[in-house]
Amino acid sequence: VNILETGQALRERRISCAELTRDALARIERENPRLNAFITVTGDAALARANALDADLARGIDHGPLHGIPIAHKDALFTKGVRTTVGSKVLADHVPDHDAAMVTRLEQAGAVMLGKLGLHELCHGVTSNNPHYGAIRNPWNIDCIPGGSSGGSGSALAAGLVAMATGTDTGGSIRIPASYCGIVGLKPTFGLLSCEGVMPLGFTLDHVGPMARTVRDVAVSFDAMRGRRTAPAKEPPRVNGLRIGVPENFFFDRVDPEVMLAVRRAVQTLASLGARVEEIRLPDADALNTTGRLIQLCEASAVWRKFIERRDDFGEDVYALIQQGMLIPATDYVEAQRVRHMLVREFAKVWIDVDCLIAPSTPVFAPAIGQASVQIGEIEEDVRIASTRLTRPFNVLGWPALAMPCGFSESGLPIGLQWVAPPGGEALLLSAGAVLEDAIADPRFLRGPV
Amino acid sequence: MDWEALAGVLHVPLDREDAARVIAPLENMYRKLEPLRATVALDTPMWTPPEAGE
Repeated sequence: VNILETGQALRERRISCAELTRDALARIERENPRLNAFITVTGDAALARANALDADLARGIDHGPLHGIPIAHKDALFTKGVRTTVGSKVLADHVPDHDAAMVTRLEQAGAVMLGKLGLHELCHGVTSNNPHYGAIRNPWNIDCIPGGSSGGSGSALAAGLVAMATGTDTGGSIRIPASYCGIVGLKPTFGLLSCEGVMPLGFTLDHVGPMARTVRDVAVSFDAMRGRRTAPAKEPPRVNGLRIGVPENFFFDRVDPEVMLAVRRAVQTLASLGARVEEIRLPDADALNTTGRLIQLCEASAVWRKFIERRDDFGEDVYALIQQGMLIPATDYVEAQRVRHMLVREFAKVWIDVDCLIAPSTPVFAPAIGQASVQIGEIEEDVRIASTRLTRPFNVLGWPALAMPCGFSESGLPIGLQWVAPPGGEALLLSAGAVLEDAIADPRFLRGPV
Repeated sequence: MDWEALAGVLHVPLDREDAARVIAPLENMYRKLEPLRATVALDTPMWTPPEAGE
């Protein structure tokens, strides 16, 4: 399932694009009834495309590292001629007449789209327990949520149904499923990858990004999404001298002890490889969350208010969020964007002392389907608030963040951490993340749940 | 804030059963927002995206 090794096998004719696609479609047929990761499977189109890509390779036309690689898109990215539901009933029959910019980029890079992946309704939530298309399940324990909103992407990747998937992230929707499903996801710098043709949720918070099984696969996919070909690395990645900041406040304040231990252990590993680890104190991250939630509520309701009369066509949780957003005065929205400006300036000072940050992606591992709250120490917290508490701050700041697995709970569920860098710091995140991935070298993450 | 009255003015459907789901989280959010608003200077602009886009 490693993209680069699969690509090598394709170019050496040990396997064909058509064989890869048929294998993936067979796995989807076998596993999707159990996981519900896909909303739409485009098998015939995928096979036709794979055959065309085999013909290209035979003629010496190589589209790059993703040539012939089976992928799927979150069903919030528009796909020409293929319905794009955004996990909603109101758009159940919506068939776009154009592709999202990132769908086009990945097609140009030679990827084979197998279909559209399930999500939390409207991308407006984290459980992916979708009232219209059914609950998406976590392959590590099918009674647990995969996280969301890009839950189908996380589930399909963990189960090995695709080698790469797209996700979107407005408050953590790439990183939360990455954490709960034991896969890797990159939320790039705000605006770096075009959201054209992605159903909006929060215009000033939305990001689109790659998700895959390994950091290197995410790096290759990210290059393709930027319209670039991955150049072979001149030397292996290193973390010698890298100044890693570990927040001493907020990000470890209310975290499950097993998550705390796994992330701290990863940090120790990086220190043993030559990184300079520094405990740092951050400004008020809770203020970022409050500001971000208000902005998201308003922006999302501006998109979806046209359907407000169709109460019965929405899940209860999502409808309540639309109602909330419609009740917030415009003056408060503007004021929140001013608070945001102030907070970004305050937080940016952290980059004087460190090159990147490490924190848990989520304070807990995957909750059960239907579970409304999680208990962390003495405090009971809403699953939605807990899941986004550590991810949302970086949507508000617009900084890039890479989520990757770093261990397992005693119950066998993945635990994730996130690296964060200043705007434009994706290369640093992907390089440092690859070092950590090599050092952890847990075969369970590449193999997936058996 | 009288959310129910506001809902009436803005034509937001909000029945009694919605109160816990809709109003309580808003009240909670506004409690956290109040002290933040007080810190905004007169000349503070709105947020603009970081300069790393394509």
